[in-house]
Amino acid sequence: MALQLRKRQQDAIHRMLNLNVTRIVPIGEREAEETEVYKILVMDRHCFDVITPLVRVNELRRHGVTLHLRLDNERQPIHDVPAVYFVRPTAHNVARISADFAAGLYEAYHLNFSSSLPRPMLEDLAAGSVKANAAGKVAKVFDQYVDFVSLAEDIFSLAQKDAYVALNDPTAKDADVETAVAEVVKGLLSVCATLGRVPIIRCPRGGAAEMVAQQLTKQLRDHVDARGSMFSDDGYAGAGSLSLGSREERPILCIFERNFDLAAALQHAWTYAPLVHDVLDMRLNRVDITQGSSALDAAAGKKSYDLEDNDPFWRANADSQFPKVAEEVEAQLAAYKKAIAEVNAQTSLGDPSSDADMATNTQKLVSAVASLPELQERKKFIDKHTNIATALLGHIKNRGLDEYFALEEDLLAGKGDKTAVMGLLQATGRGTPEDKLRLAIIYAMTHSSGDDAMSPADAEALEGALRASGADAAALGFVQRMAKLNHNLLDYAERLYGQSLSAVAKGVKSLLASDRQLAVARATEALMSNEPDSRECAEYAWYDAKAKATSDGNPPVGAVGEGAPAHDHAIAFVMGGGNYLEAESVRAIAKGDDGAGGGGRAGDGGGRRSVAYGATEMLTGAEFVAQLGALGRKTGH
Amino acid sequence: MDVSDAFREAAHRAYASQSGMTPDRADALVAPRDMPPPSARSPVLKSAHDTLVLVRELRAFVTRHRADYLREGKDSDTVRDGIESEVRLSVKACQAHITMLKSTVQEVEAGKTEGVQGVAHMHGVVLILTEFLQRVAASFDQCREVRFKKVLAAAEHRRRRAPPRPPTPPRRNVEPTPAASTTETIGDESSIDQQQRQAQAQVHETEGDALVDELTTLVEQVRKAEGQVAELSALSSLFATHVQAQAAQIEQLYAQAVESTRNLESGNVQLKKTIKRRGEGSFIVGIVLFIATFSLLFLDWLQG
Repeated sequence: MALQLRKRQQDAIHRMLNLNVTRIVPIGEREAEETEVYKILVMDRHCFDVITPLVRVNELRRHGVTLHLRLDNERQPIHDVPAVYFVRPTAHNVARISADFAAGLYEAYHLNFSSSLPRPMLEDLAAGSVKANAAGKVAKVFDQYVDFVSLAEDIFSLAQKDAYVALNDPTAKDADVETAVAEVVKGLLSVCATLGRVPIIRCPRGGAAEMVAQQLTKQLRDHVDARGSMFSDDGYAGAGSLSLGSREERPILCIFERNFDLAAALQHAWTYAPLVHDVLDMRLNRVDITQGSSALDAAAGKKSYDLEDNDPFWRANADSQFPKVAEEVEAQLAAYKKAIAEVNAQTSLGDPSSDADMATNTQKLVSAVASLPELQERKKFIDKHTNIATALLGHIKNRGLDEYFALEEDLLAGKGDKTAVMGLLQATGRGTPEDKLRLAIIYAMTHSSGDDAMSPADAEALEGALRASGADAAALGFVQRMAKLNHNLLDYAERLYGQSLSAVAKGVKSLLASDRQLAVARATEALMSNEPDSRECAEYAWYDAKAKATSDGNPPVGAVGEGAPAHDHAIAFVMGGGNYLEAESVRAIAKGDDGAGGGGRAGDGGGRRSVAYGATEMLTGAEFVAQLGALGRKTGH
Repeated sequence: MDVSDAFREAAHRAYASQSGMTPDRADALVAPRDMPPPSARSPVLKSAHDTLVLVRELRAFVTRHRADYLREGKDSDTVRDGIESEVRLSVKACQAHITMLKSTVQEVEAGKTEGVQGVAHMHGVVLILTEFLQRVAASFDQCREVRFKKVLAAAEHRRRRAPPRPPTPPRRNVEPTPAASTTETIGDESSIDQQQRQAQAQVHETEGDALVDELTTLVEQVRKAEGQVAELSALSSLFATHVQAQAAQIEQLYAQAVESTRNLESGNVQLKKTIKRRGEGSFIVGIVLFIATFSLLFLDWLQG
């Protein structure tokens, strides 16, 4: 039983598109009575992002959606058709819908909100419908609990912009922080509701993560206690009891804060998926590539590509290193050319007078025609990945990303080389200002304490080099200040890196990047395996919505420690932003790839484990640095 | 989670607070209004419903007879031809319906009762139906492909068996002659027998020739059948391309309709800008004339 988050969300959306009937009848089946086949879909921008990775526009037509419109655009009345609304429950949207009622745009309204609609807004909506005398036209009102974006089978994002700034701003008012926390809780509630399972929540104590955990537990408890809730299929084993059977099925939700591992968000990547996201700015699984160097043919040469799970090359190579990806593309191209040559040889007509030849020729023609569509599909994928790889190569050459990657790996493995770092920072034409800033911040972080600490002269030189290349040093200032205030924070990170050092022999330069497991992945694996001597199990809080109400976050007897069973399913969630590099590291846990950590228990769970990765938003390194810079400016750097 | 009940309660409360409202009337106003079935609501939807019913029937027919179509048997060919002709007729009927639906949509478009978005919606309906028909035709084409492969393989086998047969009649001609030569040794009074034997040999020869002719005609027939099969496949692919072309056309129309909704908005913006500019332009012209008049008067005063 894997966590099929994306599939469940897709099913929920399909149900909604079919007007939430109890049994979906496909468009081809005969029915006893005539039902509504065609409908209009009205969405706001956020819900459009939710739907885009799940249902492509031409697939919408298969569900009978003739037209999809934006809530905020000017819309005209369309007669004789029901309208399906899919919007966020905000006051602005409710006002807009009331305006639609007043304008009498459609015959029937099926209103679907992406998460629960608060009571006051429901009252406003009802009042608006009564004023327009349209209450009878509202056929259904649904809370769909799908307020998150499923980017891949095991990656989701809450699409909450600038969450890191909101959560870490020292000048922010308490109310703002609480709003940000409430947003995260709403998103996580949607994830749990879509999964239909009540997870056990583990989080580090003290901080925004624990606030989120407490509020989420409370809301989950309210839903579980309510009758006929969405969690009724979880095998509710009675109040307060934690029988082993029910716990094995329940996943754990590990909530981390971005500050737990800043380096992972800043690091330059060398594997395919993180590279595409970071360098080519992938949004909602779509990449835009501008071919051609001049501005004139830039507009003509802009192409967008979708990178989804139905692309076999992407699925197989998303975690591979970049040089290997280039080789794979070439190999596939060669195989394709050979197949085409075979088809051509078959279809070239031989001597038509001989009977035998004619028969075999026709047969060959038939098989060639049958295999053509499949070959066309393959060619499309190969073209797409060739273009993407070429664009990546161009960027890597221009910015010298391989040097940055190599230096950062060395720094994070504990083998920092100050002269090389300064050299790269001062070199012009190697990397954008953001690249240099990222390298500088990682250098500052790894040399902030202990015997390697940077001297003030070094810090000055660093900032000078940054300013010379045009980078905004506010981000660096913010990180350094944070390091001084929360000394434990980066110590913790260093201790983890220290662990990896003991496992890998010193002096051996690891050529493969993936040997080093990132902090979030290591912590998640430790929590899943529930070993008695792992630090995470002892120090992390435990919240369970199905247990009797407790507020101290201590695990019940027998849940952790000696003899406790391992968890097979986990959701790792990072507040403040995540990226594909971390997702890849987390995904490796499920494959049973132990890396440097792990223990005896990890072996037997190999095939059954499934881990999902989520974040408030998926950030590229440049975007995260911009948020750090904004925080730095707010705190006066 | 269905919160329709909570919504209706809230609406009921809002109605109840209005003056002169009885609870019963409020209930009636709040209850969901049932819409009549789609085909009764507009000519476009009725036509679409009829087309949809036809295509659904075609799909059911194809699924029902798929097993029959692919089964091997003595008269399977006639069965297959029958199924194919039925499917061809059904597809033509569906296409005719779709063309009718398209013309209805164009009439409504010309009547200007619906806005741009309404027209786009109707083109969307037509596109959905065409895509559905295309899917059904494609599934049937797959069955046909399997059939063609079998027919070609059978033709191949038949060809391989045909050449060995012609050598056998000469062999049979060889046989009677040893028999004839043995009878010669029996006696001279068997010259009549010899003649008889020779006549038999002749008969055998003619039989053999007849067999050869029969086989050559068989070969001709097979070749003709092959040609027909090739023709059929060409026709079916033409078929599919026609349906595809229709779908492409409708998709174009649909895209145009959606484009025009976007252009509508940008057009409004442009219009507003033009109006503003024109207003500004006429304002400037007025000022210039005003200044010119005053300068003329001033110059006149200077001179005089």
